Amino acid sequence: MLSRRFFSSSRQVAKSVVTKLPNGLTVVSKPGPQSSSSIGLYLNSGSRSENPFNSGVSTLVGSVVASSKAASEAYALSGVEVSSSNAKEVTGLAVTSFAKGNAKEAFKTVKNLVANLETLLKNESYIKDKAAEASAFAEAFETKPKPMVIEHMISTAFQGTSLALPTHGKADTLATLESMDLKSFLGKQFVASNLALVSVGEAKHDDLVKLASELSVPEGSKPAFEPFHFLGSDARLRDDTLPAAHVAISAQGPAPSAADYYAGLVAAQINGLYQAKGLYTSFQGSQLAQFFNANPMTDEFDHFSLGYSDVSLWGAYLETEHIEYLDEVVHFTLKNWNRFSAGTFTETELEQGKAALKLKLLSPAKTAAQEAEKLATNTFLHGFEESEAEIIKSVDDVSHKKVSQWAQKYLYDQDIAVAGTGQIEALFDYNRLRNDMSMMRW
Amino acid sequence: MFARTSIRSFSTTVPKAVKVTTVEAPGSGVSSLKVIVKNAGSKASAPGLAHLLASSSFLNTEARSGLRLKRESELLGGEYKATVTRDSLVLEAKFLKEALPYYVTAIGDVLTGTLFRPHELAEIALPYSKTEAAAANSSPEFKALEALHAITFRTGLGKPLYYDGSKSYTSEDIAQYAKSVFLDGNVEVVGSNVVEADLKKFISESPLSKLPAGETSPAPQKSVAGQDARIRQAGPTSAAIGVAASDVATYSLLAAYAKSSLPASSSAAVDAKVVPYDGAALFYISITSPSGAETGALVSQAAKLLKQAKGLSKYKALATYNQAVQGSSIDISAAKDSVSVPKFNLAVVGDVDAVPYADEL
Repeated sequence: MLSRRFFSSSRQVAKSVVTKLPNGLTVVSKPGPQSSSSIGLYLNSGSRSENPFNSGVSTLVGSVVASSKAASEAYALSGVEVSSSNAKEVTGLAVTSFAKGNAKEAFKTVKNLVANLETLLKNESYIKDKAAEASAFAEAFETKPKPMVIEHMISTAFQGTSLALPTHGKADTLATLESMDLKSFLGKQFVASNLALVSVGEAKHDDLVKLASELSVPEGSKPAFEPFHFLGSDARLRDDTLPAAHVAISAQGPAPSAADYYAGLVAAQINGLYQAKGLYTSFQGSQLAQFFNANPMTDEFDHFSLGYSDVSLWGAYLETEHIEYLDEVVHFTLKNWNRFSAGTFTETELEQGKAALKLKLLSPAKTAAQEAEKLATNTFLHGFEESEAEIIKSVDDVSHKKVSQWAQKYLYDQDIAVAGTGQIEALFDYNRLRNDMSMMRW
Repeated sequence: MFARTSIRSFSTTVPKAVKVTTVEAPGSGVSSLKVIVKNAGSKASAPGLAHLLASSSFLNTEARSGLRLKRESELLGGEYKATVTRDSLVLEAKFLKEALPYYVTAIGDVLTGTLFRPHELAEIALPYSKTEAAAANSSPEFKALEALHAITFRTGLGKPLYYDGSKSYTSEDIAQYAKSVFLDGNVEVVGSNVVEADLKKFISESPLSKLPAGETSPAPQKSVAGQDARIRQAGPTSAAIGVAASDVATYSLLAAYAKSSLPASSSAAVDAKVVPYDGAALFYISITSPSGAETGALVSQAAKLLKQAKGLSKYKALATYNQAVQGSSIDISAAKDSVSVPKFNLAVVGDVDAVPYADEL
């Protein structure tokens, strides 16, 4: 007889379905029971597809669509919210969010927005207003130290290539953009092979395929990204009016498609996030967190692995109000990284990092639109989205030895990209920081 | 065979009072658990005490120390937090699905066996509560909303959400308060992405089934209208204009109408909502802008809109969407097409000279 357990847990697992249309457009959908769903048209090009003279154009295109008259009407009268998103390699061009049972209106909205795109771009004064707004947004971005310092770290790491361009554009450039810039950008990027129609939630896949085939999207070959080039370097934006020092440091990591990518993800989770003022911080298990609990000289550290199509950056963001200890904070963090290559991190730390990574990768995003962006990014990156079972297997496969090998290849004695802002008088010069990436002993 | 197995033999072993519900969530690898202790939020306690109780949760209990809970969670792949709302204390955990029994027990321990040691209050809970309160109050929007609650409801829902330092409490006070509200009738468990029968079984085996019997009933909330609160300070100017909502359905249409009708601008942030509480609801429009004059102008427009709102039925779809995002479930089928709000409260934080008083609107 079948056991009770068998019945109760045999719920159908949500899996994403991918269809590629003859014109090259990708349709991907992931069913789910959430109360709000999202359908969006995504471009596989973001700030990395820009150049220094049209920096920010991908952000601008999104905001031009999202704040158009058609979008605000869809919001007020049909309950379909239109938003846009922007990253280095993915732009959410027309992203809709809607409540259960309203998929029909969302379909209409997407269709409408795409059909209106050309008329929108003709409206010079509207584009000018939006460019001014986007420029103000890019300016405001520079006042948020954490994302700002990470952005500058990426810029200095890949300086001279388009990957260095800021995600939301340069304020000066944005202010000068006109409708002609948008047209020529979309002329190259808005082609079927570079687009994906992404849905999360209740919309049916067949309906989406039908919608996608009805969209008037020009055919064309997929534009390639300019190759990256990593350069160990630093960018300092000292600002003694800020109360703290903010530093981001990273080394070049493998591409997300590489076999050893997951080892880096696990390593980032082993150290993870530390916030000195958090409620349960004093109990945190990672060795670096324990060290900073015993020697309270940092307010936050946050380890990350930022993946792009052909490369990643592995590193950490550091923040401290104890500016006189900034040199120590950086030194002990980099010395802690040495443990990965020396293999002196413990099995317990490894297991903890793996569990944290599984929780992070399997947790659904906060909103349907964010979930759709995740799905779009993964689809562009791999051609599909890894299932939960595949993710769990990839994480389980990471062993102590694999993390060590990854660290010896990508971390030990490797060049670093450094960016700092705030009161960074105590941030050592590049070579002294670089020296901490290796050890005098082994 | 199928009929037999579908009989839930578990449910009867769960004490009747602890209410258990499950919801489906996207994905299948991660589950989460929300244990809501009703009538244990800021409205029911002495001012700020409920916030201190939230910050004292997940520390040392009779069964395990706070250190052990954190370290075991790291190995199991789980996170937990306690938050205070105006109505309730919410204990939440998010974890890899295999860890369900662990967290049912852990949260049960928090409710039945937290030790409330004096040093934990002094070293962990109190400093954290102050940090959290200061972080929230650094937002003029939050401050205006707090003031709006205070003038609308005065006591009860009008009490500050977070600990403001105006009174001092001992760990004994917190323990006493916890004892008075951690009763089985007050506790509601919501599991997402879990099998309901399993959850019920684990609850029946956990300390959650040994909660003292009883429940506390919510105090009736009285509200007033036509009040002003003005806090002069530097920074952006935020205004919250609102009133206790009697007809929740119509007011949620009004919120949708207000949110979509107030002119969009890149500098001003406008939000409109109905927040349903236990025993009352608050409708508000919140406006924040770096320029006091812009906030003032938008407040005047909002007031005009509130006095004569017609054709609300058009906004049913938007109201439904807003609820889906907000996670509330108000039945709007009986909503009226028009509403008039002649008298409302107004809380202003920032450049108060640029914003009119409520009776001038």
